Amino acid sequence: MTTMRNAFLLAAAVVLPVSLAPMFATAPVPARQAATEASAITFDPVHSMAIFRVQHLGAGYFYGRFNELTGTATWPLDDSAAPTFDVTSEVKKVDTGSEKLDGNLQGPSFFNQAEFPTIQFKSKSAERIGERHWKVKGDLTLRGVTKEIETDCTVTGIGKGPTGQKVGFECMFTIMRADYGMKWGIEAPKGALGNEVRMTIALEGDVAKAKE
Amino acid sequence: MDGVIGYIVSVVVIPAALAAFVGGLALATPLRRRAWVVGAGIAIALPIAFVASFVSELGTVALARKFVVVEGDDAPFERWHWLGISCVALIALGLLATIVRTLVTRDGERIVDLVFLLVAALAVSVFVQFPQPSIASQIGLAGLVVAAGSAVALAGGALLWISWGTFGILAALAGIGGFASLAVMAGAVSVASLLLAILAAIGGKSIKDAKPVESAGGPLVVAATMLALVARGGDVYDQSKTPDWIWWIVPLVPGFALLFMRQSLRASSIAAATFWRTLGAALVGVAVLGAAIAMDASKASGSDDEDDPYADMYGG
Repeated sequence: MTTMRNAFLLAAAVVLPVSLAPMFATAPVPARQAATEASAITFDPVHSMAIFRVQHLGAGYFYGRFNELTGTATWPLDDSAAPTFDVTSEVKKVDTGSEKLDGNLQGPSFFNQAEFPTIQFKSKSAERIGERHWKVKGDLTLRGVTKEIETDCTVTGIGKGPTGQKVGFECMFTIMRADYGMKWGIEAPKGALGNEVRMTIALEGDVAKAKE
Repeated sequence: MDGVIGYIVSVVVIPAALAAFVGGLALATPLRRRAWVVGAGIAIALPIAFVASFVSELGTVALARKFVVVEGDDAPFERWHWLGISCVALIALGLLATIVRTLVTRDGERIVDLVFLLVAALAVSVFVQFPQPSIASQIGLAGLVVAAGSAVALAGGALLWISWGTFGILAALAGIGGFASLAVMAGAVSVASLLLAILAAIGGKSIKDAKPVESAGGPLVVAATMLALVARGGDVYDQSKTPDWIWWIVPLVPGFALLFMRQSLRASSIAAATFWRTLGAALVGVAVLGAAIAMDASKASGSDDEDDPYADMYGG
């Protein structure tokens, strides 16, 4: 009896660690993989927008926005690597609070919606500035002109919603609109609208669920 | 405010003055005694006003980049810039139509007008393609050139006065539609037409054996093609609630000179005949513009609750 009990204990001592070993050995791995592999993030148009600021008549700053940005990003949730972005805005989604002004901005003197219906940013490289804070370089295509720009991007948070995990970003950059052929109001009429446009891009996206 | 005045001077006043100077040489100098010079002067002056305004607004690079690579220019060609290029071509075509007209008999003049109008219609339908072109849109553009030609032919001696009003309506519609650049360019042609009309009236009175202004030859081809092009361009890029039919009808406004044609034909003087023809076109023109303004205003005020972009802001 004693021999049998000892044999059982011996067997248990050998088998249990062997059978549990994979659990302990592999348990941190998926977590580690999830942390280091970039998560695919699809932007939620309802909570993604771009806000622009331009000086009016050399006086006040005028703000407008582009609603419903779409696109994707990739970013490891532990911030171990840089985010990448592919963001698109439809020109017809411009919203200044004035239907008349929206029409003017969509017209050929500004964004020329009929010929250039979208604005796109695609990141190419990034450099860390701080924790969850990156300097992202990429191509901005506006009015058919593509130029490299540098944006200051911050991960604003990782949250949980009814549909799953969400990540927020805020990116800021400044462009000279004349570089993109949008010259109306800079020299003619002189000083009607500033050349410098400051952009703030607020993005929120859903993290793709890991495949099981 | 100085900036705005300077802008208006550079894109409207100076181009119109330049056109008036060129046209004025034909209309208000002894050259007025030659019919073909009168026609050539008008045929050149109207597109000059548009081209000068276009260049003042966008620079010569906007005309050139379709055909040549301009160093340091990475902006793409925009389809509406065909309007400027077309007007450059119309300077030559209008001049040619006027000259060819002198080479035929009186009976052949109408055929020359028709041939040149058809050439202009064919050319714009082939080359001038606004966004989302289709076979139907290009046939429509060609048809509008021909229809505008028929309408302009009825303007007779009132061509310049009616041109003033019709391009003025197009400028207003473009402004309503958020197309500021086209508004000032059409405005420049409108002001140029007014100045030319005044110079033509002065020249007609002061110069012995002065030849009258006619809606024929180069002026007819140029005015009709420009009206059709500006109207279609304005319509395609229109961001307002102006219905398409308004844009289509404006180039036909000169044809409403027909309304008081009987009075015009019975008039005892050229001035009176011009007045009656202008009145018919003006009444319809004002009605069309008024309708456009009213429709835009009523639709804009009724759209506050439609498709509210904030409606689902907090959803998802």
